[in-house]
Amino acid sequence: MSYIKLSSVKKSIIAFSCLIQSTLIFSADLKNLQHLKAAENIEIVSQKITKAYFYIHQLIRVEEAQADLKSGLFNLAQDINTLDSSNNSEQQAMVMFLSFTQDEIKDILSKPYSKENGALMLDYSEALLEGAESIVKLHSHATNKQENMLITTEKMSFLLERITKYYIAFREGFNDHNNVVQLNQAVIEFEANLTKVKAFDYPDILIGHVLKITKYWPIAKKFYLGIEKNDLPLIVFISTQYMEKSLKKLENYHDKSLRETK
Amino acid sequence: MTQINFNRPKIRIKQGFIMLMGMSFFLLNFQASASASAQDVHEMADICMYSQRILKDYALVGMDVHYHDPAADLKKNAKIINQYISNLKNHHLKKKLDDEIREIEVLWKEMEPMLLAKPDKKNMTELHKKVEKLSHRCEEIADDLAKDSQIKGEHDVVLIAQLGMESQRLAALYMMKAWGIEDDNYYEEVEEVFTEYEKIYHELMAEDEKLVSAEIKNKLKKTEKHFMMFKFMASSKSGRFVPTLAEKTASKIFHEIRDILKLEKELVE
Repeated sequence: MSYIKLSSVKKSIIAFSCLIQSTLIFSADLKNLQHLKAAENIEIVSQKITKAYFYIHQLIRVEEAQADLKSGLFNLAQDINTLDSSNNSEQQAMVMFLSFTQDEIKDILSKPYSKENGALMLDYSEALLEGAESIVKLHSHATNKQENMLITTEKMSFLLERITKYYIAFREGFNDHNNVVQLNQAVIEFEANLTKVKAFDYPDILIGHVLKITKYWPIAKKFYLGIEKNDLPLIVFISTQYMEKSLKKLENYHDKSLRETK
Repeated sequence: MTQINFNRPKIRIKQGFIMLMGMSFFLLNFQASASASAQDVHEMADICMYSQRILKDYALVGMDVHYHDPAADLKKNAKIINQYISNLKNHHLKKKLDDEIREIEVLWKEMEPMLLAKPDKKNMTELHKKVEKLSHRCEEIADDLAKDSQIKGEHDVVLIAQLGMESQRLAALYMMKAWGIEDDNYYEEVEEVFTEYEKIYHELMAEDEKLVSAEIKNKLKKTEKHFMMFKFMASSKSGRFVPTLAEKTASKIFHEIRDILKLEKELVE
């Protein structure tokens, strides 16, 4: 075999191994991203399920709440399944914890509403959140501004679900020390994130959405915190939905920008 | 005419009295040196467990959590402790053991009014210290009683009861934290409970099956899983708390251990 032929074989081998390596890195990145997304979904779903549970019990927008509950449970099962494919022992332990919590939630949902079950649903949503959050930490490595803003807007959607969950649970009498602390904390966090959104230089087409959130938030906040004494859960439900829709637009923008830069 | 000796009955009464005194002294002495029974061991071990359970309920009532009616539980368990102390005192055990029981009574009486009063955050840290002191001392005394009972395997009964106590101790610590009580050593204490629980658990798992049966070991394994779930919640640094779920888990562990204890008693006593 001539020297030229040998050298081209060598080059092909190097190129092939580089290709395999980059494919492996890409698939590891993809898996990492899938797991991050699944864990973030569980964070939101954890709040949505319990919120829907209370809405159904209080006969407010029942059909919509039932659909939320059904899709929430379906997504939860899917996301737990995605996370189950990890070899990381820490994640495996968390997945076990999430599965256990999921079963307990299903068990409560199969029973009629009671004060005790309501209290448990609130805590199970926190348990799901706790498990999901620790998995997010394993996969999250925000490095640039777009990624940070994506996390910020996603966090705001999650916080809105969380705040509404406490609002609707308070109407059922679950305004004990711990829940009040958590609600106040969520409101503070939402406002801190809103400041970041307001300071970000969005394209003109999205400014309207930022303004919408800025406009609705102070009104909704008064209801959430019980400062506004009129009890209007429907108004709260709708204004939360408006803000969530606008947040989704901002999320999509950051997500798209991030993909373009990668 | 025969003379009547009026002094004789007096002497007889005197002799009878002395004999009676002697017998009473003998009986009392006999009672005071009675060995501890299995019942004594159980009651002392239960006092350790209930003291931590009461502390947990105190914090639950304080933070306005009503799951499992902690206010009613608190009162009920305080009565049980009083009943057990009274039973133990009435068994007239050896002086050393009797003194130890009275020591527990003093510690309990010091904290009982505080525990039964309306929960106040200001009293929580002091109560925690008092309960810790009582439950640790109580564990030692339960072991002394077990040794005195001379029942083979009674030490394992005490170990299982200690698992129960450690689980309720973890619950009490967690509820205090959830109520917002500052405790700089919280995470160290959680770790300490966990280490202690694991140490006892492995000691029981390694025990001869004649003393800790395979059925009991299986049940211990199941309970350990629940304990690990609880440990995960208690070790969290997120600032979020799940007192209702913690109460549910703590009670589940408590009842599981009561069942295991029953099996163990049937096996060794």
